[in-house]
Amino acid sequence: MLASSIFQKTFKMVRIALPMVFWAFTAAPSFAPDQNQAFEVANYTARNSSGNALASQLFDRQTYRPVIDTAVEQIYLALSANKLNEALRLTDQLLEEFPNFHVGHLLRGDILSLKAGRPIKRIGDVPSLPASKREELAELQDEAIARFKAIKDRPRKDLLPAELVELDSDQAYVILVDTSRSRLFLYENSFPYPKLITDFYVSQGRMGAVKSREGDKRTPIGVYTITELLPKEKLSDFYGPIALPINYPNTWDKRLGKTGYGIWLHGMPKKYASRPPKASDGCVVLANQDLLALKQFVKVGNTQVLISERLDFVTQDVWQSQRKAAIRVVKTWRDDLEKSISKGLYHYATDVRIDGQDLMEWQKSKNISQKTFGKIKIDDITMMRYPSEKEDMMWVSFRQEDKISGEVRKQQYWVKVGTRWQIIQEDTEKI
Amino acid sequence: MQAKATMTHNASPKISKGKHVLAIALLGLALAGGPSRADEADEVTKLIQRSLFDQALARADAYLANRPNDAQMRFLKGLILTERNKTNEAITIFTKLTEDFPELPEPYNNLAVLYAGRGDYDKARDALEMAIRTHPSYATAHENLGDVYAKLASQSYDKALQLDGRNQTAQTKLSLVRNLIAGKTLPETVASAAPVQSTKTKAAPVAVAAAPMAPTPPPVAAPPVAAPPVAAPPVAAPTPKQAPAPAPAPVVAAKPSAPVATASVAMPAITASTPGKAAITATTPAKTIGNDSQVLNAIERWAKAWSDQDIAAYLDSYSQEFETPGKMSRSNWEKMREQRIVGKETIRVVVENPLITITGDEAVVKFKQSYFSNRLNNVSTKTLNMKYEGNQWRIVSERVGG
Repeated sequence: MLASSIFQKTFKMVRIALPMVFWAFTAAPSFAPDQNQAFEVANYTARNSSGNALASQLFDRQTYRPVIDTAVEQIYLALSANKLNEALRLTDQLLEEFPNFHVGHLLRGDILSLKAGRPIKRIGDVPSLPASKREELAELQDEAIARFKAIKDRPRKDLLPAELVELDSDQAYVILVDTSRSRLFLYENSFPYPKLITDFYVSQGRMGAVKSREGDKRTPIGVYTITELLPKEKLSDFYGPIALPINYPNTWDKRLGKTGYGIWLHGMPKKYASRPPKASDGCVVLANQDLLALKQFVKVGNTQVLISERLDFVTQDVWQSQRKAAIRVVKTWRDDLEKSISKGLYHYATDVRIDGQDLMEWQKSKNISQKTFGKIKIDDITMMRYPSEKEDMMWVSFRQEDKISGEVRKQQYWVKVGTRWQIIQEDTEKI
Repeated sequence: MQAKATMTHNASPKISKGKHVLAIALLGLALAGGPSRADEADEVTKLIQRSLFDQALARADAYLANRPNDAQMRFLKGLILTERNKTNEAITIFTKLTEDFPELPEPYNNLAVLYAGRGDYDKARDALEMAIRTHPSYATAHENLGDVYAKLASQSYDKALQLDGRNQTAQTKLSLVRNLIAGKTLPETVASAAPVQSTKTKAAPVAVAAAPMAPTPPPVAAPPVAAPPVAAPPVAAPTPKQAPAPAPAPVVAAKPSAPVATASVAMPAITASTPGKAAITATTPAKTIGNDSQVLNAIERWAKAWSDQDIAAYLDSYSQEFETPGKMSRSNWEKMREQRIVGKETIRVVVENPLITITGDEAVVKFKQSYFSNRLNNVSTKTLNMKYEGNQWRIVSERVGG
């Protein structure tokens, strides 16, 4: 009697332990610096509260906690700690609030299957799947994997996006979209380091990132500005409660001959709680509640949206030194231009376009060689590493004041040629 | 490894067939009655086996007219009604049995089978989880629960993929087991369903037989004098799992060494109640009447009255608004409780790890209740809803489970 009950307990353990192993491969995080803080899915002796410790290390949102993302993270942590009941409870809770969150139902199916003793070989291991639903399942699995990977590869809270170099005090918040992570990060411009306000799951174009022509169903990469806020009245249900168009194609895109238009950040029809990772015609799609939360941080015509295939999260030291180096590049250009035109011209690429003109045309039109700039004042600098599929690029926007230019707002695109940074494009706007 | 492989192999065809095992294990229930009752139950059982349900029902009813609380006969009546497809009535009977005898897993199990038969897998799951909570090694309930989980999983998958039509086709059918007394030939369905079978074929009948027998050992192992040592293992085991707060453990462990204290409340557990709960009381000080210790005293009195078989004090722990199980009348309920409590040779009730949440004049108390009588040892999670009535906190509802 005693023996049999011990046997049963052991049996139960085996039954739960083995199916869970798959989490170790599919979902265990790789970024945790300390082995003790890694999820030890297979190690049942150490399943105390390491999950919570990890959570406190990771989740450093300052103000807005996206409901679905937060719940999915908790479910993931519970599963990783082999707390099936907890995972089930959290899933039920989430589904009560978002009954249309289909990935949630899929996870619930897996959790209950594990509880029933059926080993789960992959996320969304649906038995006897009708052929007509294969695509739908694949989309749900993609979403679940994208959501889990985002948690697994979630940057530690002491890391910073290297893309953010400098934000003008006028820029209170900045939006970063990482297409490989299917994630949007909202940062606050704060000293000495930008501060993460929130981050959540987003969907991109059906064909992925790097838009180049109209109708390619890709999401553009680059630095953009939110140009408008379209209210509900102007939108069909398809776009959710609001939409935030961005200025694709920007001047650099146009220079590259990229086409297309109407790239927005928008929501989704009411019948959905989330969309597959690749769902749109190129827009960035947010859950409606997340979009409305984001809206509060957006200043139309001012808030920038940087879309990258892969944001580069670095330590504070690295971030700081990269930032200083980038600013030094711009300062050197300014200093050299103050000294002499010829010294200044050294920083321009031969194929640079300045306000649509090449270097010769520009010198002629401004009669530059006859003049000196004298003292050049530069301030209100916003600088970002510019997402580009080919080269190392930077983008900088600043206010410039000197004898020749007067008071202008300038945007420069810099490209790294060998070890040298050169201006490849400069656009001026009179203030 | 091997265990896993065979297990799945074993489980899936069973799900597709949708068979559930209705467990009938009456040895535990039989303990509630004397030999003459067992004889009568035997007769009814025989009638059921011969499918003479009308006669069986008449006989059961006649018997229950005199002894309305007899667990075994009520259980048999539930079976008869199940056989006759009077699902609702059967559910009522088994539900009441679970309320009156929360320590018995069998009524929960059969309740679950009935719910599953109606396609209500959530309720089936709740019932089975209750069965397992009271008897963690109850193999039949584990088996059935596995099936219910699998069914719920497939429902979830259908929702995920918006496959609306699939559920109706696979309504779970009951497979009613006719052997009523443990020790007789085991029903084939049980034997083949037993999870243990997958690794050791020989172990299967043992494990299945063992489950219903679970209530048996206490009378042998726990004579009244031996109470403290019996108490020790259940006390020690769940504490670390219950609350991460380190405080309660040592104190609780010390309790069994005080043989005089029949009802003991693990005091520090309350002060160490989880931060979340503490915050609730702390943030709403204005609305709070009394404090933890008053509630705690009330529970302590209740447990002590129960242990001392002081029925007057016990009943006084309950508010006049108390929701009696199965909506029976207050006087019937009081009679029933008296019968149950005063009739026992010894009772020992231990309250551990109480978690108290006070909101205004109401309190919710969750704790681990260890019940030891000369007949039964039972550890369960209990939730009491209490109300402050002028001078004293009294119980307004009582349920097993957290």
